[in-house]
Amino acid sequence: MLGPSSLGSSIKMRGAQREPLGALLPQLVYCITIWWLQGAPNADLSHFSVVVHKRDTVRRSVPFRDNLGGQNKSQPPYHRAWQLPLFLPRSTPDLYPIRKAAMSAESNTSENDGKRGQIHNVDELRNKGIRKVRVVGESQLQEMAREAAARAILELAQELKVSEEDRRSLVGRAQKQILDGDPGPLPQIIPNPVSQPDAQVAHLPNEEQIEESPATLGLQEQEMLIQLSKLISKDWRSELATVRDSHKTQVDRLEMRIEELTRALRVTDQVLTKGGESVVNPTSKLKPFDNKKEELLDQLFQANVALREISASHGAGSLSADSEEGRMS
Amino acid sequence: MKDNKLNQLSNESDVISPKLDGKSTAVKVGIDLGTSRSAITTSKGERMVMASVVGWPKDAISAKVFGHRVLVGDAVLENRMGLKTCFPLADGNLAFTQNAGDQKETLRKAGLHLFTALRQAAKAAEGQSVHAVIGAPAEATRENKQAIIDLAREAGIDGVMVVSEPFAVAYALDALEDAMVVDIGAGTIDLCRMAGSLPNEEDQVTIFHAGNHVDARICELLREQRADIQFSPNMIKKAKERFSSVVDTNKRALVTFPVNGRPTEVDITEQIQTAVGELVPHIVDGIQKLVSTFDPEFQHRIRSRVIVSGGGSQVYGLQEALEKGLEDLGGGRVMIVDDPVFAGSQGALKLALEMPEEYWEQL
Repeated sequence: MLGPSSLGSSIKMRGAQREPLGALLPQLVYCITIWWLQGAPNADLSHFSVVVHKRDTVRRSVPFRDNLGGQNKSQPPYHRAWQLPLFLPRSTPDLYPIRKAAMSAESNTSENDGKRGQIHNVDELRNKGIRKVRVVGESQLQEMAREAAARAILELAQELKVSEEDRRSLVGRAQKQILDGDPGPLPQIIPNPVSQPDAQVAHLPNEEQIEESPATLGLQEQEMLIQLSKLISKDWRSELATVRDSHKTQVDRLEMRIEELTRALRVTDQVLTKGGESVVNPTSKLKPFDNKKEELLDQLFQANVALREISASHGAGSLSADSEEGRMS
Repeated sequence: MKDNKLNQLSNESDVISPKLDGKSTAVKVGIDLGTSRSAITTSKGERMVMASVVGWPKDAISAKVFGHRVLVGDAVLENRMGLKTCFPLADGNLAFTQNAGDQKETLRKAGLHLFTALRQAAKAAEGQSVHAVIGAPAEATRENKQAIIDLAREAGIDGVMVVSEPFAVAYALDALEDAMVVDIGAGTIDLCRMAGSLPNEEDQVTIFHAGNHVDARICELLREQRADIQFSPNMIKKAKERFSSVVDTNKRALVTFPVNGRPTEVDITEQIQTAVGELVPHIVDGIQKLVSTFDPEFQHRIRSRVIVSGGGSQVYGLQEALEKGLEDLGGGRVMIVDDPVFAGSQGALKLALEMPEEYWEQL
C-alpha cells in the first residue's frame, strides 16, 4: 500500500521537474483532507466510496462508472487509484482526533455546498454508530485543518530522503503557504464521488503515461529500481551460477566416476587378457616384480653365461683330448 | 582333400593354440636334482618326484621282461633284482665327474638318462622347447655345474640354468634377504644365507653329513647291536623316513626285519634317534659359520629366520632341536617349509618363469 513516501516521491519528482510547490498545495491540502477523513473510524464514509485504500471493497461492491469518456472502461477504479499515490494516505493514530473533527468539518462543508443548515438527528447518528459528537466552530475547524496539514507536511517531509537543507526549505515554503498564505480555493467536494472519483486528479499523469514514460519517475525511484533490478538480477545470476555450479559439479563428478570406471574396466580387461594369455601360453614372459629380483635374475643369468663360456672352451679342449684318446684307442 | 585338411588344421592351430616351435612357447621347468630323489615342476602344472637312479637289465631275459633297455626312477628300485642299478649323483654332484674309466662313462650315461626322463616328465609337445632351471648343491664345483648343463642339453633341454638349491628355495618363499635356508637332502645339507643378492661361495655351506650318512649310521648301529637282523639300505631308508625323530616320544620305531629268514619286529627307535640326532650339531655348526661371518649388525636377523627344507626337514622334533642348538648363538627361530619335497623345484620354476625371455634366447 502506497503511503506518504509515495507522496514524497511524487513531490520530489515534481521538484525535480522544477515546478513551484505552490501549484501542488491545493491538491496537497485536498489529499490530506481526504486522507484525514478516511482515517476516522466512526465516520460514515458511504458517500466516500472512492476511498481507494479499501480498493478490494470497491472492486467488489462499487459498480464502475466511466467518467473519463470511456477510456478506461475495462479498468476498475481501484486500478486507476493505485496509480495515484496522493489518494493513499497512511493512517496515524495521533491524528485520529483531528480527522474526526475534520469529518465534522467536512460534513459542514458539504452542508455549506448545498445542504447548509441540515440538521442531523441524534438518533440517526446513534444508529450509525456515532456515540459522541463534538461541535467545532468554522474558524477553529480551519485552524485545526491547517495544523493537521502542517503536521502531515512535516511527517511527509521527514520521510523524504532528501538533504536536510532541502527538507527545511520545503517545509518552510509549505508552512508559509499553508499557515500564513492563502491556501487558494479548496477543492470542491463532489456530492456523489462514486460517479466522479478521478475528476480532480485528471491533470496527474495517468497510468499509461507512467507506464510509458519511466523518465517521469523520481531519480531516487529510478535508482531504487535500478538497484532493485540489480539485486534481482544479481540474485538470479547467483542463483543461476549456483545451479550451474551444482550442475557442473555433478557433471564433473559423473565424468570422474565414468573415468574411474573406465580405468577399472581397462585394468580388468588387461588382467583378464593376461590371465587368458597365461592360460593359453603359460610360458609367456613374466616380468620381475621388483628391482631386487630383477637384479638377482640378471646376476644369475650372467653367472650361467660365464659358466657356459667356460664349459664351451673346456668342451673344445676335451673334444680334442677325446679325439686324441679316440685315436689312441 | 589333403590341402583342405591342412588348412583346417592350420586354422585350428591358429585359433586354439600358438605355434609350438617358437622360443616363447617353451615349457619352463624347475628341477631339484637330488642325490636320492629328483623333483620336477613344470609351467604346465605338472610336478613329479622320482628316484635318482637308473637301471639296465642284467641280461636279455630281464630286458624282455621289462620291455625297456633302460629304466629310470622308482621302477628301478622296485625291480632292482633284475637290473644293474646306478646312481648318477653322489654327494649332490654328478658322480661321473668324480670317477674315471668305464665307471665314469656308465655314470655319465646314467646321468644322461636321468635328464632325459626329467625332460620327458615336462611333457613338452613335439618341437616344443624346454627351458630348465636346475638346482645344484650349494657348493657344487664348477665342473659339476658344467656337467649338469652339458648333460641337460644333451638330453634335449634347450635352455639350462644352474642355480644353488637353497637359493631356489629362498626364491620360492620370497626370502631373499635376512634369512637362512637349510636344505637337508640325501647327499648334502646345503646352507645359504640370503642378503638380498645372489649368494656367492661365502654365503653358502655344504655339509656332506646328510640323509645317506644317516642311513649308513643306522645300518652301522643295527649291525653292532643286532647282528642277526637282515636288512638292506633301502629298508633302513624307508624306516628312517617313517620314524625319524630327534626327540623322545612314546612312538616307537617298530620295523619288521627278517631274522634268519623269519619276519621279526624290531624296535630301532634308539638307532634312528641317535643317527638323526647327529645331524643337528652339523647343521648348527653350519648356521654358526654363516652367522659369524655375516655383518654383526644383521646377524640376529638371519638367525631369527632359519628356513629348513628338503626331505630331512621332516624329522620329528628337528625344529625344536635346532632352536635349542641356536641358544648358544644367542637364540634363533626355525621354520619348516610346508612342501619340502617340491620347494626347490618350485623355486627353480619360479626363476625360470620370471627370467626374461631374451635371456633364454641368449642361452
